[in-house]
Amino acid sequence: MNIVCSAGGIAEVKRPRNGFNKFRQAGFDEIVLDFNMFTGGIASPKKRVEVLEHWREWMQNYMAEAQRQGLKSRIAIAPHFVKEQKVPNMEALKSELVKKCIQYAGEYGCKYIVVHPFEGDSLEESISINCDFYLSLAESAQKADVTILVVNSLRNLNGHFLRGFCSDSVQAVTFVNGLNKKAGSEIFGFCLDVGACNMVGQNMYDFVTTLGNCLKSLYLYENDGIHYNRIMPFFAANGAGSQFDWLNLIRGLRAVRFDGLAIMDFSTSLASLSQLLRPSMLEFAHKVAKYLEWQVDMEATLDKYSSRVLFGAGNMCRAYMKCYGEKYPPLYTCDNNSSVWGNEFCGLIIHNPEDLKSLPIDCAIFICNSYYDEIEQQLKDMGIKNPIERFNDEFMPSFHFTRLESDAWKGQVK
Amino acid sequence: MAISGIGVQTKEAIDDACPSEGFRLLKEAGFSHVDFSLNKYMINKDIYQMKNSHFFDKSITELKEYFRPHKEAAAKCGIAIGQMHMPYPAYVPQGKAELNDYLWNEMAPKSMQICHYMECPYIVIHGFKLAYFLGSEDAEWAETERFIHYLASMAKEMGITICIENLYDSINGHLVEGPCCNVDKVVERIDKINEQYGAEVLGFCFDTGHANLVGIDFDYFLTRLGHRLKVLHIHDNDGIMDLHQIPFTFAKTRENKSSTDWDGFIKGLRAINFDGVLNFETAPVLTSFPEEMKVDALEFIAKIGRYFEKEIGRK
Repeated sequence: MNIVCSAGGIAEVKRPRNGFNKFRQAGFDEIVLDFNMFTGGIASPKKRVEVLEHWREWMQNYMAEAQRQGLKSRIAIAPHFVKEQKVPNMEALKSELVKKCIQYAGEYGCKYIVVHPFEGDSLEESISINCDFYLSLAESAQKADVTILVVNSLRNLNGHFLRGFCSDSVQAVTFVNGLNKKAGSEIFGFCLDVGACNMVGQNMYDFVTTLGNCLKSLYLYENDGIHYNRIMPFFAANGAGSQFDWLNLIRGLRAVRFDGLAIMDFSTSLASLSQLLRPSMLEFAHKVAKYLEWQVDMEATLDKYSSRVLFGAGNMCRAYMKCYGEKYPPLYTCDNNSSVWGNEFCGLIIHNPEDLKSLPIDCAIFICNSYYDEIEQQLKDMGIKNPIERFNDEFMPSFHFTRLESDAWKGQVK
Repeated sequence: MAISGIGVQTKEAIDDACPSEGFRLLKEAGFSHVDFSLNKYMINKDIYQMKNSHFFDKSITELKEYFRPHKEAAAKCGIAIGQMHMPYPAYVPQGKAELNDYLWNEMAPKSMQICHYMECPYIVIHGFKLAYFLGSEDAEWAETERFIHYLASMAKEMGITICIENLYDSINGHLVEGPCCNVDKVVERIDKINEQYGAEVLGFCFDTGHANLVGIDFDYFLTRLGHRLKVLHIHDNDGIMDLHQIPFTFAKTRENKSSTDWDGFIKGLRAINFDGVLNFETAPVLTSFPEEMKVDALEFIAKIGRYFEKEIGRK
């Protein structure tokens, strides 16, 4: 998985230079081309005329600066309006804008554009009007060599959010496959809006695994399931943790080996901060992005190597063996505790770390202990040249019913 | 096809010391059926805290004797026991083996026998909540299915349909979908099991409150469910907590329209020609209203039932 962010809230539409600088300094080298940053004002009667006249110019200047600073764009978000905004001739205006934006997206090198559906009065009507709408974009997408991503949406029933268009995974797959069949080629894919899923408590493991190859992108943001906000991952917390179902999402993404783009959006969190603090949040966001990529790619990383050994003979090693031991069997594990060398733990012989020196050079060492930095340093100090990777058991495909507490694991050593 | 009647939970309405008084009150309030709350004899909060009420230590003869006054009072008042709720959970992850054995070997089979004795055609169970440990809802279902198979022969012999219910789970207080929220899977699973037993041993209990918490499209779900829908748990909430309140109670905007999709509920039941009982799972209403308003609250709930009945019957 590759996480990308919008520079909205950091790089101003009309004066983006300084913001892009900060964006790059935080570690990001790519932006999301979110056309809503330029067209959003259309929803305001006071700004509509000015925006319609100038949005292209603003967007072009913005992107010129992004390109000057080496920020690439692989994914775009098309303009989107909702019924409540009461934009005159909204359907026709949106259709026209989206076609234009598909063309621009292609010109700026984007491979994908996320296009939000229209909201019908019933499910049947939503499917019908959106089928026509998306197919009307096929020609533009083909010309621009851009894949259009359909996205799941919610229905607002008197202030309460319900599952809406393509909120059902089977319906989403059927819809996308139907569009591609009618268009005669693979022009359409799916972008899963996980924040929308969280608003209606959906099982994202089921959603992601049902989508399978249709899933090209994620719209990644967190909320508390009540307020439809875009919060920094792990920050919609209550009591002991986040109210977002990261476990099922990560399980699903790992299961389908998701390697697409995820658009991380934390605009609500950013908006709540002083301009002065925003760059610090960006740096943190970059760390969060790397962490999520690491978690989602965990199994793909195991699969990269033809052989592997583990470092650590505790709960993390036990979790590895439960979920991956059969598919990616380690040669052995090792531990700094000399009293357990030569013993067996979860079917593995525990070795002295010194034995790692005689490993074949392409065998990877997976650290199964949260003292990653210290162990990695130890291995480097030992002169180990093998690939060193970090394994983690926070988001596993399944869990033991009990954890081994403190030294209790020693009881499992045969 | 017409609705069979209007029902409500016995919990908070029927006093074991004098069941006839409660049944009389429910009849006068306008109910024709009850949802017998067997779950009040082994409360879920206690089970999760590893407490065993030992209610089911009694022999089946003793249990029948215990519930004989209830059965007789219901019959005398002309109230049918339309459905029953088995105590839940029937399995506690990380729970003591002794408690889990008791739930499986004592509570569950004796619940079936009580259901049969009460001449109740449906018993609602909760699916196991194990996806966190087992990794997926499918793996979790495999365990629930094992439990259903354990009871299915008994159900077939007794002419009882076990009903699974859409449930929720919690992620740090945010209520998210739990077992049996995917209608396509539900349909496939019910059909498979019934085909295997050559009888309707498994059906569905649609819980409006639980569905509302996770934004399920009532109309789509009910229409897809079709004839597999056997019983209902009708109640309302704010979309945040499982409050079990009176339908049409909650609004979220200044327009003050109901934020629960009751139109979708009516449309869905109409589409499948539902002819069962409109059963309200609203026991908490009876504790939230003052005792002296209990009868008024029950009458109002029954009146809402009649409103639903009229709307569902409208062509």
